[in-house]
Amino acid sequence: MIWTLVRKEVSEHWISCAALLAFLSFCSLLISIYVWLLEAGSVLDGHRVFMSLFVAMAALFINHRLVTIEYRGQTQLFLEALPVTRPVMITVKLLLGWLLLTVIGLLNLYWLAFIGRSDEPITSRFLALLTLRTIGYVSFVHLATFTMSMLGRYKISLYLALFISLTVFLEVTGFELGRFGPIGLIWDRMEYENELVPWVQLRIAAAMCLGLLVVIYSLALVREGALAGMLAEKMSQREKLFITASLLTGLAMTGLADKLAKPEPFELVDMHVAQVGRIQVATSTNDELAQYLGEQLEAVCEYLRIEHPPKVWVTDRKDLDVHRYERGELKDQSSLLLRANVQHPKFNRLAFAAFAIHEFLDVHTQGRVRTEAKVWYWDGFGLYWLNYAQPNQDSEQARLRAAVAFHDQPLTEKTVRQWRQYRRAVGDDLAQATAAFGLATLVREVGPEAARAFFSRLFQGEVGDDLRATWFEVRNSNASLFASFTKLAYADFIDRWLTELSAEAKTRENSIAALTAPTGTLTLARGEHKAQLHYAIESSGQTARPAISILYVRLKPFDVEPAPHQIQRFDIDNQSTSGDVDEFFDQGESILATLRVFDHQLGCERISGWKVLRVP
Amino acid sequence: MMGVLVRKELRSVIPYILLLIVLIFVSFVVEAFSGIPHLANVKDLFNDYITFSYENAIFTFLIYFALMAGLFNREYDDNTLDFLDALPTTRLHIFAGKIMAAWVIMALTHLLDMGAGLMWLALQDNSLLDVWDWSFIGTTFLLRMVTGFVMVGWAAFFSLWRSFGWLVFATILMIYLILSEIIPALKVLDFVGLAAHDLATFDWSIRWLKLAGHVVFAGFLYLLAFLLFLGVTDQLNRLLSVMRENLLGTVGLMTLTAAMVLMLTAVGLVVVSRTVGEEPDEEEPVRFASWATAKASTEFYDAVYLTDRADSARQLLDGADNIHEGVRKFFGADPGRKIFLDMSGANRHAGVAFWNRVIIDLTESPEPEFLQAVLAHETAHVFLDRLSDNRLSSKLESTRFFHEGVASYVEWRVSGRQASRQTYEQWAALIHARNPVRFEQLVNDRDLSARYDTNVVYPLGQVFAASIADEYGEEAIPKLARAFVRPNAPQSLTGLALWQDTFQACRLNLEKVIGRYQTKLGELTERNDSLIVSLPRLQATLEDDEWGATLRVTATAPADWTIICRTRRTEASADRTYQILVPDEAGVVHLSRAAFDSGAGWYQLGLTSASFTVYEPWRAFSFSTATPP
Repeated sequence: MIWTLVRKEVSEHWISCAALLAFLSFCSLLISIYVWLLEAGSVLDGHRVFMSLFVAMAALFINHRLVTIEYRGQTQLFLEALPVTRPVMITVKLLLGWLLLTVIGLLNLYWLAFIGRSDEPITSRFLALLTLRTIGYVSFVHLATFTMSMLGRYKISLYLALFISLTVFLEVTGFELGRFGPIGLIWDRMEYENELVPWVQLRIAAAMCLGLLVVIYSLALVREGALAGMLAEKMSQREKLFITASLLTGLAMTGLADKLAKPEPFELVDMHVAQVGRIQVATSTNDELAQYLGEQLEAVCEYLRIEHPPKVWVTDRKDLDVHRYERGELKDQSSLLLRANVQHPKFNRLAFAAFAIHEFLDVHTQGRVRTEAKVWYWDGFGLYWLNYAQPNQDSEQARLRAAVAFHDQPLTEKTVRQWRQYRRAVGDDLAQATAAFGLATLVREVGPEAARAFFSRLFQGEVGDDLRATWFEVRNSNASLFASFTKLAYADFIDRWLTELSAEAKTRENSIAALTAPTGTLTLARGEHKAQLHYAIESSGQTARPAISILYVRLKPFDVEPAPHQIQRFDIDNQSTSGDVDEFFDQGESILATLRVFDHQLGCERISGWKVLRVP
Repeated sequence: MMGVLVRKELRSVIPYILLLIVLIFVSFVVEAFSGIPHLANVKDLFNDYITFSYENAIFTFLIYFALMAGLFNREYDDNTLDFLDALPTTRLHIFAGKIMAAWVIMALTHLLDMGAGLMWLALQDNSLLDVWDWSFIGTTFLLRMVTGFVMVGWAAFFSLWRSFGWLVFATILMIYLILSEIIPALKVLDFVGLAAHDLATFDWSIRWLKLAGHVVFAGFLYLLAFLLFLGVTDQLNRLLSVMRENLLGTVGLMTLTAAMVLMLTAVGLVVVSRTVGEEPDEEEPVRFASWATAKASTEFYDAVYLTDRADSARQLLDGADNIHEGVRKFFGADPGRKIFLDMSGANRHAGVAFWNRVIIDLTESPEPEFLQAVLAHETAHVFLDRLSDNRLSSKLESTRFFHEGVASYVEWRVSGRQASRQTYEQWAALIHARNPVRFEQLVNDRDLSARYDTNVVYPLGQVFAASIADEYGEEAIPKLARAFVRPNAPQSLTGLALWQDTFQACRLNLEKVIGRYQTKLGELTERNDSLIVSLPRLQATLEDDEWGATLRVTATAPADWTIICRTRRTEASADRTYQILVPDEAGVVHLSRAAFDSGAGWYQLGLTSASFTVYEPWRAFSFSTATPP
């Protein structure tokens, strides 16, 4: 009777199987050509491709024919009427499919081994190992696809669900699927390992095959085979949509997988490490800088009551401008990586520390300092800490910068509220100095303890890095925090700040007049099809004109705040009073541009104010 | 009746509306918990929710496809079409009812999507951002609706092929992908990317003609879909059943499907391979920004540099015109057009010069004097090429020593940097004392490289240039360069013959200059006698070992010097392919058989200091033919 069953399967599927064999032979030939053309490391690379792509596809196809069509058409009921038991019927199908797939796999292996015999050390032991690997892999793939085919209408959904969950699993755990059990049999050094039997992978594959066999026979035999029959029925429209929604939900949730995957802690070796209190600073150059930064950051942590500060790394880059500091974008967000030209003779430790504090607070608060109402506090804190809280030789320069900023763009309550716009008007350096001046005023007005309590709440970290952070900001708005901690009306404080700043600017009128300033205009000169940035420099009356540059950036769609590294620069020839930047802009494009000079007395750049110019 | 039909269809698409609501909810959860919502990247929010990004459009199209398949195919599967036909209505009305229901879903998709986006954008706290630009939002919505109209047309067309739907879709997609790779202009046919018009900051620049073309074509697709709905689909399904029943038909269908899968995979791989590398790898544990370029002009140079290296660049540029003038005066040439000075990247050398273009690596040294010397050197190359109308460079095989020698000489004359002159003189003295290079070898760069070291052209060339200046004055140097463009200059000469001819054309005596050159080298050798004596000659023994061969150097390096060994596969190997090895403490270097596939190779020992390397001649070696143990 078993032979009758075999004959029935053969007569039913021989056309498809013959077509499949023809097709796979063609694919095997293609793979041979591929291996030959691409000069792969080993000709057996082709076997891996064939097994993982074509044998898997063939298994899907064969089991679809052997199982899905049988159950969907309910023809298994006729077979059950024959004098054979259900386990025999399933076993026949299982063995037929396995035989066909094994033959396909082995034929491809022997074919590739034959064509590679002159170039590869293919010994009989190696061939036996490859045969074992092929059979192990084929058995698993066959049983897995057979099981899925038994699941009838849920087959495709389960494949998709499996794919999604596997993707998430691999992303979260970093698990090496290519070395695991049955997959490892064809992926892990298959074409080169000619000595060792992959016992571990074979054992895992055997265990998985055994498990799949249990599932297959359970599905086939439970409730006299009715379960498999029910599963094979077509899905209703609603069922389809439910499954689709579930799968899409799963797919969308993979977006969260990246977050669940904890990145490896960032680590650099062979560094000079200074541990000061809770702060650890590692620099690539010297202990002195690490110690200095560690002390400053530890003092900031103490002041702001920061319990779990990020670890700080500083690397040396000799090719960077000495006043240019960069922050690396780390996957591990619990560390801060900075780089600067720290060994340059003109390296300013104080300015670098201010930058480090600025970025340190950004990492600690997970970016919440970038909320508009908080930006000015964030901008000012580093400079305030180093120049006002502990006056030094640079404090005078910080005050001068604040005065210059006020001279260039008087501060108002509105500009404080829209700090990013103020930054655009005076530039980052001067805006930071103004903010630091404001913080000093605030501390004087409300007293050191109230200010400290306010700042420590303002820069509070560890409130979550998702919707919880937004909710925290809503509950702890700047206005409410300011009122509750300082007992001062915000408008009164701004008034005080402006008055002091105005007085500072007045006393320094003469010094400001002696500083270099980028005086001139930037417009768009429209050509026939394109536009160019046109500059006209006004004479400052000074004998030697300062070196003026144009900073500009082409705003891409939805570019709100271009990063500093995107900003292009055009140095204007010292003799030239007007001209065009040799870059062309299309209709509708917007360009953010400003004139800029570097003033040595200020120790920073001074700009004419960023303007958005749109090509009409 | 039409109203009844639309209501019936709307009832049937309620599950799709629920699906949309589920998807919006899921995207809310993902957005809320994958980052801090009020600090989300504004660009991402606009791209993901507002402007109908390409990925979003593909996903939406698949939903429309499923929707249309549900609306049309269910009538066939459930045999309800016959029932509808019996009602006092026409197929046109039934078709229109289904399409209208699809449009309702389509409009809802866009409203919900954009609504969610605007909600997240409203949370943004940024004074530079104006979220409520209604003109932009309205235009975007209209663009999305038009794109949706076109997509529904395509989805209706594909879905009415029923079992063939995916096959037809894949065929058209495949043809489009292949053709658009060959003829990029065909990308205009891409209806999925229809919403992606040119967007400048916050302004749409709509391509009306493209939009109108797609809308008209979509109208045609609706018509085709209607024809299929009238009965063509049934006939196709019957054909499919017949094909499945015989071997030829099955093979044909399988081959067609497989060919489609293979070709789609191939096209996919091509597309992926082209896009790989365009986006920064998010898996990198650390990433620093790449800085934008800056442009600057001086009287004689147009320059570019990276904005984070402005100090070094500006320092160099501030003195660049003086250097240019120094070089120009040396050659007695016109200033000519401006030289393009590229300081925006790192290089294998501190400087490189091409026709009217100089590349300088600012990272090579923080010393401004060094960079100025490099600029003088490279500018000299530019002038030599100008004076010789690039003929010196086109015969570099025979002229490299002159090009580099004169540039090195001018570098010293213009920058006045004594250090570089002394270094070159020491180098030349060592070469002359250890392995004298004859003039005939100097004018054959390939031979020099094969036997010795191609870099000797710098010190020896400088001594040669100085010899010309000593013998005939510095003005003889530009005179020689100009001689290459004289009208009757023979073009086929190379090597010694070329130089004899050139000197003769200038009425200069090459032999005299060579004599002076030899004398100068002798003087330099005497002057640097103590250095020459202090450096050992390098020799090595070679033995076969397990992996190839062991090279044992029989000398030790004095303080501040290191012994190195470089290898090459053949005599003709280019310098950039040389492998440089440093012997261990016992003076041993292992030569791996794997690196020399012919079983033989070349090695060269050298002594290197902070300034230069002096080599022994190249030596050939071969591995033993015995199989390694």
